[in-house]
Amino acid sequence: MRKILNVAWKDLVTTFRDPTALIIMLAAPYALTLVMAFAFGGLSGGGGGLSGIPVFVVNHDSGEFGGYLQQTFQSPDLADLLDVTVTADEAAARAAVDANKAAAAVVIPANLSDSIVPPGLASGNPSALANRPQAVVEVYANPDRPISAGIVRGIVDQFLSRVSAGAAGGQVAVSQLIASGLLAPQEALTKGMEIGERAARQATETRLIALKGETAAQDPRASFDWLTYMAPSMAILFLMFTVSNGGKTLLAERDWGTLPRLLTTPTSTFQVLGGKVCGIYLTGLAQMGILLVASRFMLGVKHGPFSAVVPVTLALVAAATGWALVLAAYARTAGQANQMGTILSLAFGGLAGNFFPRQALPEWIRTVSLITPNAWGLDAFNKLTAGGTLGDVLVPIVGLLAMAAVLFVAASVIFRRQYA
Amino acid sequence: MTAIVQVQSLSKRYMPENVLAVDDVSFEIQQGEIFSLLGPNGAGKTTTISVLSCLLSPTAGDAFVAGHSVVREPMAVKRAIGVVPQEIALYNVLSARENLVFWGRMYGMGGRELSRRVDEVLQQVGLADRAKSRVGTFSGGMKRRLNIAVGLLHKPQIVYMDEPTVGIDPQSRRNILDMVKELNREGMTVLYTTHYMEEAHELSHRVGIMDHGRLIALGTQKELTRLVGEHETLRLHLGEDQTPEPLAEALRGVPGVIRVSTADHEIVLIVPEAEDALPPVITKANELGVKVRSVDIQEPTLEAVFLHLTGRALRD
Repeated sequence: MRKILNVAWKDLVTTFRDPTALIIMLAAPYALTLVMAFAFGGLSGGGGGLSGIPVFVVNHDSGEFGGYLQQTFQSPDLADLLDVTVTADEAAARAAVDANKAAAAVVIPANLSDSIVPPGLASGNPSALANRPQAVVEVYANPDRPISAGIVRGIVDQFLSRVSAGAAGGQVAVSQLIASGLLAPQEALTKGMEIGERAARQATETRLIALKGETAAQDPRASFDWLTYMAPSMAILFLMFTVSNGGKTLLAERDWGTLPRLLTTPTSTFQVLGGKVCGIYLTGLAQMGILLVASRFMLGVKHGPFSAVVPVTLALVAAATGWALVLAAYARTAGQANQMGTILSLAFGGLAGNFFPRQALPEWIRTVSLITPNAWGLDAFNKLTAGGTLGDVLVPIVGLLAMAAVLFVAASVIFRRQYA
Repeated sequence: MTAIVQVQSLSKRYMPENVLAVDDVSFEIQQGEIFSLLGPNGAGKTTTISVLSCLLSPTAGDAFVAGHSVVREPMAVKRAIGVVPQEIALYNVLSARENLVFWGRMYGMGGRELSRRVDEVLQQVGLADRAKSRVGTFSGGMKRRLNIAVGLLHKPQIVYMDEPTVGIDPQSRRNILDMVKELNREGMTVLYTTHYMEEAHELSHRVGIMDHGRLIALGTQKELTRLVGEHETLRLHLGEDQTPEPLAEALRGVPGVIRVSTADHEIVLIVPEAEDALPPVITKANELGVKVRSVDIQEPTLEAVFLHLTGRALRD
């Protein structure tokens, strides 16, 4: 074991003394995280860069307020951002979301207007306020488009906040005016809406109308944040470059003559290869650790609970190391391994969604991408940044460990043929 | 004297190329001697060392190092040997000391013993003052010396040096040759491979001459030169614009010329008496209009032996 650790430590030291390696391992992912987060999310999350979000609006409300909400979605201000389809067919709208043809369906209930201004109020019955119905505006969100769905939910939320605040103030004022005889009951609706409009301009936390957020398959607990997404994403992308380079050094040591020399010492092939594997693993782990800590303390990115981030990272680096070993075992020269490593890292990054939100990828690509450690790692970090715990990332952890096991076996079979 | 290395009918065939690199080679190396394997590139010297280092398995035969079979007890063999490979097998981003500590640990050393030995070998190869410098900043000669230091670190019973002077300047070469002799004076057994006849001549107690995978001669230098009798070597240096072949062909018919070979702009003749052979040789050159710039006359050498045995110069 001492010899394995000796080889691993040597690899770790030599890698961290290489300025080029440090740029690729640490500086590049950190810089790219900043650039991409700034380009797409203004560093503070949100939906920058998005447009034409397909939204279905199902308006069951024949009253004024359902129309207002519908008009909000169809307003010229949001014309570039949203691509709104108004339909009366709620099932069709939900089906469009399920089929990934829409980011969300906004279902306005039939009683939305009644819940704001009860019908009895207009006929002079103040008790109508107490018996007003509860309205639920539903946003049926597409889990594959969390950013877009989050934007739709935000628009509905903003509208409801304004109207709820206005309605609450208007109802109180109108009922008091009727009770005091200063307002005729038949004027209640007009006056109430007028007051409500005015009051709605004032911010208040009071909500009389509920927003029901429903997701087709899953329930993301946090809104999308580019910086939070890009920090682990770039770390994972460049982890693949690092481990590929580690695999390459196995072949490079053959070219340098240090590998044959190692094998002339009283050290077994298993110990030499084991040391190289440990070296790749420790280097990858150190890189991930530094990048995650740096993004936490320098950029304020919260990656999730420590107790979950650690096992995810350990499993992720193990799987990435497995790929590096297969690459090193398959390649014939260090140059070949270098080229293959670059191609593999970029292909895995594109396939898994390291450059843009993974959720925006078509379903089949996301399925195929499960052959990459990147995909499992991103899924795990996305869950953790959305408030998930260790229990939520057990599947990605098991997936990564299984991948590592399969790749280690495959690499050892190829190595055995080469170094036997 | 006891044999520390016994090579018995050793053969190595590379597959799938089906190249027989070592062909039925047998020899012994006695404890305390410098034994050189001399031969041109591709003669099989490095393959022989690789088998004796347990890097390659023999196709046939066996070899015993310090009593251990390279086939059945490779770990015991590896503990007994120090290997100085032809390439400089060091880590450039590590310092000289860090390299030695790393390699020492690979030989199972550690603690104070390792630290003491690192200091000793750094002193021995004259790099004590550069111990903390990264190897990447070293000259070729310094790297060669450190490369040797790694092989000496664990005090092996025998050290294999595979062409340790390739590609370095004359001064560094001199340092290394002196170091090998000094090591041997201290009792170290050395297996030295080279294609430089002068190195084998200067260092070796015994020499094995290899060509095309076969050991074609073996013995002390006296024993080997006796193979070519009392013959001398006559070396004709021609002008840069001269081709040696026509004159060489003509000299084959000159009485007293035993062997003729060509190399670059030289013609090498094996003759019984150089003084007697020289006049007809010069006459023949004049007849053919070949300008001879200078002539060397040498006592019987290992190169003459190689020429005598193979019909080719060592550098061909």
